[in-house]
Amino acid sequence: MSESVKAPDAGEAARVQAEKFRQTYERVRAQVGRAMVGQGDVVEGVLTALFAGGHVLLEGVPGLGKTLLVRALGSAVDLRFSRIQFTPDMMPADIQGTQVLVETEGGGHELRFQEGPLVANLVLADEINRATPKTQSALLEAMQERQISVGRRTIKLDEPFCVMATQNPVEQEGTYPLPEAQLDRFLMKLVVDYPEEAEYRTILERTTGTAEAALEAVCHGPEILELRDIVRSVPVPEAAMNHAVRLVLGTQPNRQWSPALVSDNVALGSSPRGAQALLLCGKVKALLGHRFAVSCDDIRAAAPACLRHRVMINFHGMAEGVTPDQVVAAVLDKVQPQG
Amino acid sequence: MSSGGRQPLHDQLDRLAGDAERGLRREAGRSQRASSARRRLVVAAAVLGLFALLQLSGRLAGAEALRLKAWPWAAAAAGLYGLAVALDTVRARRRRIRRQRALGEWDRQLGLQDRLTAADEFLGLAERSPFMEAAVADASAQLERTRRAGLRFDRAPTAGGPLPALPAALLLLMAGMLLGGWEAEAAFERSTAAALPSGGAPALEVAPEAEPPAQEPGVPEAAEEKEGQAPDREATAETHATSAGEEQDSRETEGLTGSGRSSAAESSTGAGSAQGSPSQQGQISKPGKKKTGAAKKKAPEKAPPKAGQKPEKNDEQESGSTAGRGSSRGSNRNPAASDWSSKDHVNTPDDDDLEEEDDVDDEEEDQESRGGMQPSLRDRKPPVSRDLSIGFGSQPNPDAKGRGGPSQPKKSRGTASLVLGVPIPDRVKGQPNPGKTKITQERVQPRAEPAPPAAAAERDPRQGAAAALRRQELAPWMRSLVRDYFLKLRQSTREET
Repeated sequence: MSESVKAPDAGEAARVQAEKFRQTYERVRAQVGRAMVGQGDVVEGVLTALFAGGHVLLEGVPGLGKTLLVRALGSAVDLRFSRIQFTPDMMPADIQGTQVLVETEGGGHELRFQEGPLVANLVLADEINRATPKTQSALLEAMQERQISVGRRTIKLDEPFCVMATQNPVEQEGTYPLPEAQLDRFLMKLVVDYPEEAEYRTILERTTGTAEAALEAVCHGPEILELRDIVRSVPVPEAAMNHAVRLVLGTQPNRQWSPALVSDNVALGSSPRGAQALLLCGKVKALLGHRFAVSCDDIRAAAPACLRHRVMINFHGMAEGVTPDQVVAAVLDKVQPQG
Repeated sequence: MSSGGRQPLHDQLDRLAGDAERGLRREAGRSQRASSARRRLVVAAAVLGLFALLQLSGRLAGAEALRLKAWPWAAAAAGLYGLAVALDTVRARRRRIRRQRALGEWDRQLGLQDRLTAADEFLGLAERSPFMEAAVADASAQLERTRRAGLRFDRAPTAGGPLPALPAALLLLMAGMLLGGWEAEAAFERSTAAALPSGGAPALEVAPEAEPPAQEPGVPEAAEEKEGQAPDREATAETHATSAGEEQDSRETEGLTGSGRSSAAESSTGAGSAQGSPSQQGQISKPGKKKTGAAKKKAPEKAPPKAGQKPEKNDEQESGSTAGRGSSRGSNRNPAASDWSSKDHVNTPDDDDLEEEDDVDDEEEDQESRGGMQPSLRDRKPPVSRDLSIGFGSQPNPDAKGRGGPSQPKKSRGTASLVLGVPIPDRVKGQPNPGKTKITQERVQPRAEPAPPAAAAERDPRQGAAAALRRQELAPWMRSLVRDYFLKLRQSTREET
């Protein structure tokens, strides 16, 4: 076995980087926690997606603080923040930007490109399912390629670029459910649940008094990019990688690793993007767990949020009332880590 | 961590993997023995079953050579059973356990979250990243925990609990002894057969078979016949006659009521009367005898269409009448904007071409001059014909499709008929608000859904009074037969007295 000469220093450097990641993460989390009460898992998921370089879809009934969470995050990090309230009459040009006629100094007129709200670092796409598929599709290129094309113009979006979309599971009339191609581009789908009884008191105290929580930016764009590099440096052992692949295969019908619930009730399983999401989120969880390599437990912890929106239930499953969360739970039950 | 310190880490991981491998093998052998103790019972059962089969066949055939002793078979069954269990156990204990799994057992039991397996994997790499080095150092820091705590293997519960070997062996032996009892019985039979005379046994066996089984009930009947009881004989004859009469009667009944025919035949008869009579509500009343005659005539369904009936069919289709045909045919024509054609307007092919060319030119000019997409002028339809004439001779006026007029059904009434007959093309395609459902296509094979069968329930007997039963009417010959019987009966009793 050959040994690396630079090993001790390299290990120490990694330890420093991991510690820096944890400290920054905790600072941002503390700032967000000043505005957001409870919802620890959701806050952790949003921060995980931000530092893993992915987009988040938040789903929950109205009044649970989805928009507040993303706004608080926008205040906690020093990034260009924009909010788009999606409506059915919104067009792609409304979010991407368009040519507008402006008056020049000499009295003439010229067409200038005016950027839309999508040209930002942190985009809150509020009630994304109220926009038409045409407008929803305008987000596809921005989310995957980090660029937008308008006419003959292609605009590279500044990194970090993160779309945090919210949608309401009820009031589906007049909405346009996100297509699978759009859903697949979200790293995680987080379900915002009702707060606990103990959290209501704090919520009421914060929201019905005169005091307002003033958030300060504790992290800026280059720092987030650096933390993203740290996340991507975390190695993945073979066992954890195999486990992630088998979990993704388990969501696909009639595979070796898929349980009977999947074969009977799932029309479409997760794509390879699901495995990518599992590994990226697993890396963040490993760093937060004071470890330097991803474990199978990290992968399993990230599985519900990373896979639930990539599973499409078929008609039989809809009739039986099978939910994607049940499917993911069945896959986790069937696919156990080896070793 | 120094490079010199990594080699001891590798050695320690070797030691940990070895310990875990041994423990896992022991545990695998133990669990395999427990499961084989149940599964391999089939070996002993097969040996004893073969023994029982041979004994049985030997007994049936009476062959001396097949009369076997029981204890060697029982011993063989127990021995094979034990051998199979032992082989399974040894095979399970010799099965190779991967190093990754052995170290993973340490990770799992000590809650190390794959630290040891990851470090072992990274140690095997030629190039290691800083995070890999940190992971290896992190694992070496956890080794102290492995020294303090050893591996523990909880016995996996076997299905149905462990089966003790000794009671199982005793059970098998007892089964063998029971089967061996047949041998003693066979020996007893042999000695009995030797002691008895040669003709005795067959006589004893044949004697019960020689007696006819229906002999005893036949004796009283013969005695009664000797006594010469005529009413019985008459009653028998009457019974035969009655049954014959019933058969004949039933045949007559079938012939009368037609109940012998199948229900399908009846229903087809009924359907035949219903077919071919569609509602004439939507049909057009046409002048001329030909039309009236054709309507009254029973429609010959497969008759070739006559030349004179062709325009009638066309008219029917245009009127949108679908009665009696089972399928509707929608018209895509705008009722407010019919094709422009009247008797005053004569179209020639040349005129049509000229008009089309003019239209195209106009359209192109309009598109250019107005700087935008305009409605296509090709879609412009001529206004509605206001021709109210009845028609030409016996034919209806083909152009009279507008408002009013005596010959055609009205297409529109009221305000709709006042709307300008210039169609405005719909520039918005599709539905603006499709709702919550998302259209997905799915090709699945239909599957049978298991459904619990309906449980059969026992019915209680009827408690209330039954409804009045109709008295069955007897045929005249039956009435006379009964009457004669009772008359003869009274006469005979009178003579006896």
